[in-house]
Amino acid sequence: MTIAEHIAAVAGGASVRERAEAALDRVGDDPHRAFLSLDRDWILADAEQLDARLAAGESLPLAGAPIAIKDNLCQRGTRTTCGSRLLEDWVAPYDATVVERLRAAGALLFGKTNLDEFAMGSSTENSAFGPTSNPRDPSRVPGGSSGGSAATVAAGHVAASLGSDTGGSVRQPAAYCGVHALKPTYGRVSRRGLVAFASSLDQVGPFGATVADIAQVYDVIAGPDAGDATSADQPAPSAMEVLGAGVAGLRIGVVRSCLEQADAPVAAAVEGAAERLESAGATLVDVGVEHLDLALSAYYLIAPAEAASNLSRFDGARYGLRVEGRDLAETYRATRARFGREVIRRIVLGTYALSEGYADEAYVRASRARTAICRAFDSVFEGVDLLLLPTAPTVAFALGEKTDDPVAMYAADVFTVPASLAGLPASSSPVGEVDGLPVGAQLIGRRFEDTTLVRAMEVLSS
Amino acid sequence: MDAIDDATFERMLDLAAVAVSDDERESLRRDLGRVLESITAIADAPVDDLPPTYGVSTGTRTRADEPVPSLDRAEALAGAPQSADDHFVMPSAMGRSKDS
Amino acid sequence: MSALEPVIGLEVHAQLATRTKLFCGCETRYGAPPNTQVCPICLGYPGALPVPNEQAIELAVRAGLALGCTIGRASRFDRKSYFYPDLPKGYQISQLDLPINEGGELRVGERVIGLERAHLEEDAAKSQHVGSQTRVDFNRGGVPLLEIVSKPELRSPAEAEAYLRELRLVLMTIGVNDGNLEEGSFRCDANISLRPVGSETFGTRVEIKNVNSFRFVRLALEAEIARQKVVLGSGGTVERETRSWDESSQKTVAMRGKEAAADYRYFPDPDLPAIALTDAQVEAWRDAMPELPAARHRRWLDAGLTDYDAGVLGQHPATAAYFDAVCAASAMSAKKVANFIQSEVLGHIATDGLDATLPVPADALAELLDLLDADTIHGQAAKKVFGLMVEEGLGAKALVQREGLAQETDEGAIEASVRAVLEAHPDQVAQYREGKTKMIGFFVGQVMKASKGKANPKAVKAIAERLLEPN
Repeated sequence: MTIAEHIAAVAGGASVRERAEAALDRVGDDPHRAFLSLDRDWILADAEQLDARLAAGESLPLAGAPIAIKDNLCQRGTRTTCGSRLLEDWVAPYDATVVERLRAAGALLFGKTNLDEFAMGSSTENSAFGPTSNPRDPSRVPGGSSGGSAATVAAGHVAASLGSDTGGSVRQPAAYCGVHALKPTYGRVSRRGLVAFASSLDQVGPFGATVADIAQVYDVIAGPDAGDATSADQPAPSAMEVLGAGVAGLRIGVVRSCLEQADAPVAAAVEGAAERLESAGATLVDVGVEHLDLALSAYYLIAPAEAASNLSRFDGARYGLRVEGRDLAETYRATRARFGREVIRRIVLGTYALSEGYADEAYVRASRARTAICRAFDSVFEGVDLLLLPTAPTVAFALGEKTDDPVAMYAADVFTVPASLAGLPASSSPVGEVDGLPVGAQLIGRRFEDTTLVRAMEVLSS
Repeated sequence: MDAIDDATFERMLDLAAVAVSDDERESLRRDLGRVLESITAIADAPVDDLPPTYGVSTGTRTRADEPVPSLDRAEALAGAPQSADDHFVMPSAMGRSKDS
Repeated sequence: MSALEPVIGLEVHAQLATRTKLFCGCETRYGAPPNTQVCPICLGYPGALPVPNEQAIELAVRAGLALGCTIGRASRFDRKSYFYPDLPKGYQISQLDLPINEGGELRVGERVIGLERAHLEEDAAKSQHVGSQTRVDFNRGGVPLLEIVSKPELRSPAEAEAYLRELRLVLMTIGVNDGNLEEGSFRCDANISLRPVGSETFGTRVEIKNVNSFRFVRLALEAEIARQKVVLGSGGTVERETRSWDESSQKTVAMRGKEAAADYRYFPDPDLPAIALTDAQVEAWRDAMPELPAARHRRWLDAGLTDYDAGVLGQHPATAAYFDAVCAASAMSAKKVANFIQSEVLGHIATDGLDATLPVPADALAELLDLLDADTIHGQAAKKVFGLMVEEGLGAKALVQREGLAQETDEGAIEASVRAVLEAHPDQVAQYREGKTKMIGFFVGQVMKASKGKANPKAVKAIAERLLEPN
């Protein structure tokens, strides 16, 4: 059920309410635990309002299509937990800009989806409220951190959802769950109302059952926002308008080193994707991107450093959970002890990376490596329009398999963090299966050339 | 990247203001050590001559000096764990050092 | 032991005179009920993002231009981290490596004091300790501040006080700060150490925090110098510490015990791109810069004012502008205008921050002073008319006419009055002619009395002298 089909059904007389009921019925008791909140009464009330707006002749491009929202995006009047005990009962008093834009376009905001606590993780097992399972194989993780948003689309509940991607948190779960996803260029989509993990890397992006679903949501959420100083000033070209444009004439660089690093069946599926692009008229070239080996290390210093700072506002003073201690210092420590283990790990790591005596060798040095990576991309994009590589080195791993080994968990991000560090648009497309589990192919584009990715994603989906 | 020594580890917990129980303490230290060990590539990377990149934003956005409505005080205080007399309340900070 | 000299550096936190906070649209009004000027951004809510106030940036740059700073073309905001109830995000947004203004100087009398920097930062909230609680009002949290850091080049408490007065005046003159010490919009911390005269190195410095008047800064520094001299004189060492001024004991007291050096973990704020300023923008602000107090002072001296007059009239930008406006509208000399304003008008001017309530408009005062200058009225009459102008809001000419205060300037009429007086007092005339020329005052007084004060005393005197000359 795509957004286009939904729009056609509503145009043909179906009500948003009845379609909302159908979607709620599809979720049922949410066997994959994709949702942290899904209030039937609220959703139906919203659906009726949308029906009324449509009846009044209002033009609503999304016509009440249900879209699920990752629970680190503020939605006025609903709990926004970030998968954390510290915000278990926090009700956002304002809408994130992307939520505002979805509302204005007539989307039906369809529940808040599960995630790794504060988006820190690659499996959604770091949620304080329990993991989400992969609809393709419930013994496996859906990936993360936007596991709930990927799973709900993969399970066929909704055609599209929003996630956030800091080092791969949209692309990697899309690969594991077998759906499409796009991480826009940094600055293309407003971060206002996205609870920050690592501000220089975070970007909101859509999941979709089809590439058209991605394009439809992208067109609504992308573009400048006066409320986010880092949002880019230039208007976002439409992704819908490039659908059908194909890839003829595009030069696509296959990042050979990454294929070699990935599991062989994963690499084979990505090779297959490359061939499809070639047969659609693209030119393939093997390329190397320098300094990719530094990306994971740089990322795991920069992201925790920013996270440690961003999460220092959770001090039990103005909102959220407070655990009383004997005095002020104890209260801070006891409250913040309620962060999950992975969050604490990253806060301490990030504090270290920024602290006096270590910052130059850790945070600053990682930021120099980031320059090397940005320049390497600039250089390779002089010769090609897009890069093709696996989204992740493996298919979805088993629940519990890596929870005790942060280093192994972090390695799941090895192919996704480079584009994050450089702020480049990147996507994941389902391009095959290994033992019934989906394989994702990642495309990376030039800055602000998000729609070029959409053209290639569409070819890969046909 | 060197492993974190005892004193540094304790200082980090203090700066980060997180309480960690004794049994979690060891696993946290071990995990941090493993993570730092896994990212040693950065120490040997030939990047000394490069300027750091702290962000890739192209924005230069500012706002006009025009007031926008504030939050309703009752709503703001209702969300706080503790309030009194129209103020947010925390345990006393008397004697705690802050800004220089 | 050789003589010791003080080495003083000052850090001023000047609130920028914006309507809204540095990173959100909440108002900055002083005295609003607690927590009524707050929003998700200045309360540090999850997901909230800062967007810089362009007016705060402009005011900061204007201050930098007035102080001769180098204006950063790509300055940056950094996060300074520590936990405290008055800090909603766990970090303060400030500027470390790339401040908006670097260097600069301020002339204080004959000395030029160098500046390190003048950077932008957000203010903390207001916290009060009540029993076992700390209560926080976030109205002040996020208000834009310019932190102006001097080099350690001040050599006496009196010089420190003069520096602060001059800095405040400069910032008020360019409309950047309202100079209101009571409301905390101009706050000062002082660093002080002692060293042997002639030494190039610095002693251990002590920081004196938040002294809330210029006089107290001087007193606190004097007390601290005396304390450090005693410590050093008895062979002790000065501890590096933070102290505060205790008014009741007239001493500085240690604020907190020794502590490990703070680690603020500064790093560039990833929510805020660099503040890009073009040369054209900076030059436009430079061109729009009003005359600064030091230049104005020199101009006034050239126009004939004394150093004292210029100091009094220049102590608030509104009085200075008023004086200049009256001079421009009046034919009277600047010195005479200055005299009249100081003796009659200043007492009626009420200032509140950058605002001032003027008793009468400048052109109305100029009208009065021109009547005085043209001898249409004399000095006493001018004072009376000014009082009536303030009370009734009427123009000087109308009041002079209504009150019949115009001087008699018809020489024939005056001469007739003088003759009448001389004829009525033959004894006094004889005395005068015998050499008691002081008697002239008596004749003038009699004529003035007869004319009910309208006759021009100068003309009366001249005519009387002529008529009394031996024929």
